[in-house]
Amino acid sequence: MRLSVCLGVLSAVLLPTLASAADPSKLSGIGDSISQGWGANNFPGEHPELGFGQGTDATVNSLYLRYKAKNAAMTKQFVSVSGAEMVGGRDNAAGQAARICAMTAKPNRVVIELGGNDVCSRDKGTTSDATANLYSVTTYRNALKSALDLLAGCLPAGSQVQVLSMPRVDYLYNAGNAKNVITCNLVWSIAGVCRVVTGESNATRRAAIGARIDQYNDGLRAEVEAAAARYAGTVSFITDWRGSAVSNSSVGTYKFGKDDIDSFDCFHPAKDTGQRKLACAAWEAAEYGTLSNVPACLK
Amino acid sequence: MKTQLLSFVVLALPWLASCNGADLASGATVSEREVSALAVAEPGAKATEYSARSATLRLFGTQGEGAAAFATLADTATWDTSNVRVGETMGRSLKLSAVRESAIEIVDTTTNSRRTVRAGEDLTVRVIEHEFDRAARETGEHVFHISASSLARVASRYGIGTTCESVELATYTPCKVTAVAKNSLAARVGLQAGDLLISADGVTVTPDNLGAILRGLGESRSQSVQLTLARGGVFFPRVYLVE
Repeated sequence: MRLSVCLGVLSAVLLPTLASAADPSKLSGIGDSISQGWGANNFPGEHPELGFGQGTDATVNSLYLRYKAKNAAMTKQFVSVSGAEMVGGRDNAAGQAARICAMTAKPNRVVIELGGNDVCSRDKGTTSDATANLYSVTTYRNALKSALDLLAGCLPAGSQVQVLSMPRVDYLYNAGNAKNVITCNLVWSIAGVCRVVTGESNATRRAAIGARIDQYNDGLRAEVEAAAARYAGTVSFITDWRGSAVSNSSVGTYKFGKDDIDSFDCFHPAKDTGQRKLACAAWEAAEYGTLSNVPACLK
Repeated sequence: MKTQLLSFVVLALPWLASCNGADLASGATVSEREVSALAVAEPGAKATEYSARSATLRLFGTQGEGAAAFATLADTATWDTSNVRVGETMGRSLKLSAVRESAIEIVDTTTNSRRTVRAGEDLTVRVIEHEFDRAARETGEHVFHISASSLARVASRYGIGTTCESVELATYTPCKVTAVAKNSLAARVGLQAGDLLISADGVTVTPDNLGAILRGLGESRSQSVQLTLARGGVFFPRVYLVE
């Protein structure tokens, strides 16, 4: 009797605390120019209000707006940086995770979208191997693992971290060519947009780069599952990636169309198509959605 | 047992040799003996121009084969990550001597000690840097902190180190960086061949004013310069905080 009273009192004290910690209250994002809504309205530059994660534009219906519809007090604070990589530089996944950990008010929802620049910022491969200068899958995984470990160590209990699979840049190349083969190739050449694929005339070699991205996404899922097991009961880790076998089953398998990308550099998601689809996919892959609904988002 | 003892002595010899009183380096101070053993010394520089720091490096992984192989290492204090090839150094004394599948070997030339690190593992090292190495420090989010006096000395010794040519991109006329000389001022402030320089504090960058804009970073004090550039097609403002 005495024990049950004690447990009852303990539950009354603890349960509301646990519940409030688990409820989404603040969203942060780790990412690159896609998260920053770069070029989403066809004008060069960052347009975070049009980003799939942090956007405030109703046509995008971002992850943030969707959370806010569930909880009007929802806030956001993104640390995404245009040009950032998962692995390299000063703004990589771990670097951005450290900035989240330095926040006074920690988020309890984090979305990670990185990877494109890990491919696009590398030099072209050798004549025998298009992927010769790309990061190994081990390198990619350890960079992500470092970020996930940092987040697990600083986020409040009940937090959720979603790691989106990275888009196939060879699919973006195809979308640009479908959009306008002359102007898109001209801007890619002058501005040096992802030359590892846009400067590659051999389709087999471009496909080899795409296959490496599939391997990165397989590694991404393995790291997410390992983190989920390591930090079970404190922070949850999820991803949309379900393998490369089924097209349009995740962001990483989505075959972007000509209308999904901007008309300035032909390589970034446009606000009311590409960004909106990413927002929908991220939402369906998270707690209030259904992973099996992701393909419908990407139609 | 004898073999183990011998192995210990052989491995410890370089370290024991460095522990001979006055030559023992400590903290941030770099000794003349260490300077004489640097893998990449700054010509004519005194020991007082160098400083040392302790750093923990994490090997994310390795990739490539043969001469093209490189290792990816992150400083866990800042998560600044570098790709290093065999023969290249981290700081002035840590030379990458071998890249294997998921492992590397590093030699500290000041102690002649070799360390093997595997992917995912951390390694605590002493990093020796010259003041030129700290003339421009990137701190993330496209911000660089500039030591004007150090950068001026970089320019004096190695020059500006770059040129650009005007190109047309939609309604813009950016100046495309043609090449960047190693160790030059342009290299220190993070420019790369192919960068499209658009404006500096609102003034359009041209082949004629690029040198003056960059030299200005080493002449200014207590101010910031915003350089708008495009890399990989993405335009972004980079801020140089001049101190």
